[in-house]
Amino acid sequence: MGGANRGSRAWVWLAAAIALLLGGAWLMSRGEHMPAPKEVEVTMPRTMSAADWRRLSQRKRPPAFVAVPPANEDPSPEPAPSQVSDPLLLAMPGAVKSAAIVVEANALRHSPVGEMLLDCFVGTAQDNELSRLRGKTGLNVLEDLDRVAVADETYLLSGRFADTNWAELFPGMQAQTPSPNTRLWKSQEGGTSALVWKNQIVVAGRNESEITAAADRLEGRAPAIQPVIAEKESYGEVYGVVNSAIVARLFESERPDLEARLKTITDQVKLHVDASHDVGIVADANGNDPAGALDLAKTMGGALALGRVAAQAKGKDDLAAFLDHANVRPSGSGSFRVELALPLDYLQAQLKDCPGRKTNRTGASSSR
Amino acid sequence: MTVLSIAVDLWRQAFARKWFVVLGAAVTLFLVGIALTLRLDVVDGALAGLRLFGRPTTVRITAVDVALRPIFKAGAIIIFYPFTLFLITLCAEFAPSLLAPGRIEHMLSLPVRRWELVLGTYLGVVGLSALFSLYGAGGLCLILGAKTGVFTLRPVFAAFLGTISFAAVYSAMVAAAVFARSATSSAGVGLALYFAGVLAGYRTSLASMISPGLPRHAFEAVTGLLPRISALGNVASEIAGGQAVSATHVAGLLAGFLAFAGAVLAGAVWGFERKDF
Repeated sequence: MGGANRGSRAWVWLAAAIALLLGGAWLMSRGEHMPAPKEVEVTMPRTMSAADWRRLSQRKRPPAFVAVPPANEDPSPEPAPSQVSDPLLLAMPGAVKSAAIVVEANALRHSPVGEMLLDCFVGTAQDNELSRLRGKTGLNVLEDLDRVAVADETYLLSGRFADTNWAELFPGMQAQTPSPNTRLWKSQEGGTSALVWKNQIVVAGRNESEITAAADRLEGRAPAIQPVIAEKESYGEVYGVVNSAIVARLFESERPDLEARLKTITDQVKLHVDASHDVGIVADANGNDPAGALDLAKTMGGALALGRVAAQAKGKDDLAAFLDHANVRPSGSGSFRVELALPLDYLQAQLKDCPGRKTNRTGASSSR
Repeated sequence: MTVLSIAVDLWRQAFARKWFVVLGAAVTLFLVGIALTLRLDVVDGALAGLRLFGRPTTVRITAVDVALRPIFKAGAIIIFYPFTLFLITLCAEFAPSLLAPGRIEHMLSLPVRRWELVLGTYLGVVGLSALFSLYGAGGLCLILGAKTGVFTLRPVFAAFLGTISFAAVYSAMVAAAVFARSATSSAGVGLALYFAGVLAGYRTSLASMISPGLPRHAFEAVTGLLPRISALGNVASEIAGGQAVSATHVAGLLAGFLAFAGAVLAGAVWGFERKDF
């Protein structure tokens, strides 16, 4: 009898086993295709990549004019390798007081961030202004402009300016032709001047001597100097050097202690930004006090960590995720590197309500 | 209550064996080693320096919890894979010894139901696994928390998932012991299910490599029933590493693992009920 009871109970267990096995298979099939966490693709611009070297070599040109050697020396038919340079970097001065920054405008415009920013301008007053400028002067800022640089108070532009009507672009300015390759536009009241070199480089600013010096460097008339941004530093979509006092001002209100130490311990900050996908920012602070720099690096790392905690506490998860990638690398020789990443998703969220996007959305919904 | 007494009895037996003492001592030594040799320099919540055995190691100065993520991830993977494999071989003998001639007759003469015997043995071993993995993960969290000021339970949760994974494997080991009464076959079935479960976690991508038709359908049908061990392992590693995971998917996987373990145990009880001793 007990055996019969056990036998019937056994079949209940078997039925339960089959039901559970099938139920388990169904449950696991619901859970196995977990959406993969979205990877942030940040390329940190730490050094020249192969693409950067390629870009640089395509830009290198011999100087337009090489000084004639004395009669007792053989004339050299080809310029020496050191004379072949990137004209925009060559036009820059050897040192700056505040900052020298180059923005790869064309690369940035065609990057995901650039497309996103461009969306913000479509249909806005600025967009209309650009269209008017193009119609009037022939200059398509979004396509013709290759790089925009600033060295203290002098602005340098490079690009394809063959179709630009300079007289329309510089109204009220008088043109001079100091050399066959250059045209100098000067305002009559002595304000801004602009120099156009071979329809490839424009140097503009209020200090005419700086502009003339840039022309001399481009034409090979001035002695060769190491430009403030070396060619090997021309990587990323934005690069340059900034005086540490300028960087320190960023901390003026929040962390005055950090501001003071940054000013005393470091001389300058080299900046590189990669915007090929998510935005990677690398800042190298250089100084000559190894112990102080290490201490400052620790403080900066702490400040970034505290900022992240504060963002988490305020529910700003996007900002906290952005600071997840922030780090400081001390070198031990008086310099340190700060790395930051700006995920595209974060930028997208910040720009979702910009004027151009709103207009586009309204336009799209009304057309629907 | 009877189930609990059987589980406690099993624990008594386990701690009488030197291997479990060795395992406990190894985990403790690892934790003490970490506590004594690792020096962390934390500035305002950022890990600014690290010394292991007194030797300074260059680190990227970053938020402590971000810096500790790889360590917690590695811990979760160790618990999920090598530690589970070790437990499979270590615990293979428990269920067959329960059914050993002489002992089983004695047990059945007591007022204990057969399903209680199976469940008590099973829960005893799964409890041991939970004890060691939670001890390791919890100890690591406490030590690193005390050194950095950042406490997190994520690695403990990852260790809990490791225990669930072992629970599914061990259910098959108990069933194998009921049908074959051998520690070798119990360990063999456990290892086979473990590796099959690792493959089952990648069944979708593996199925695409199998020629369409009957072979692929057969592969999908068989692996569809198995616990997705590697899928749960990836979840455990992501949780320990501070990544966000879908709670619905994790709940589905966990419920599936528990249902699988329940199904195999029910099968074991079915086999046990049909046996005459």
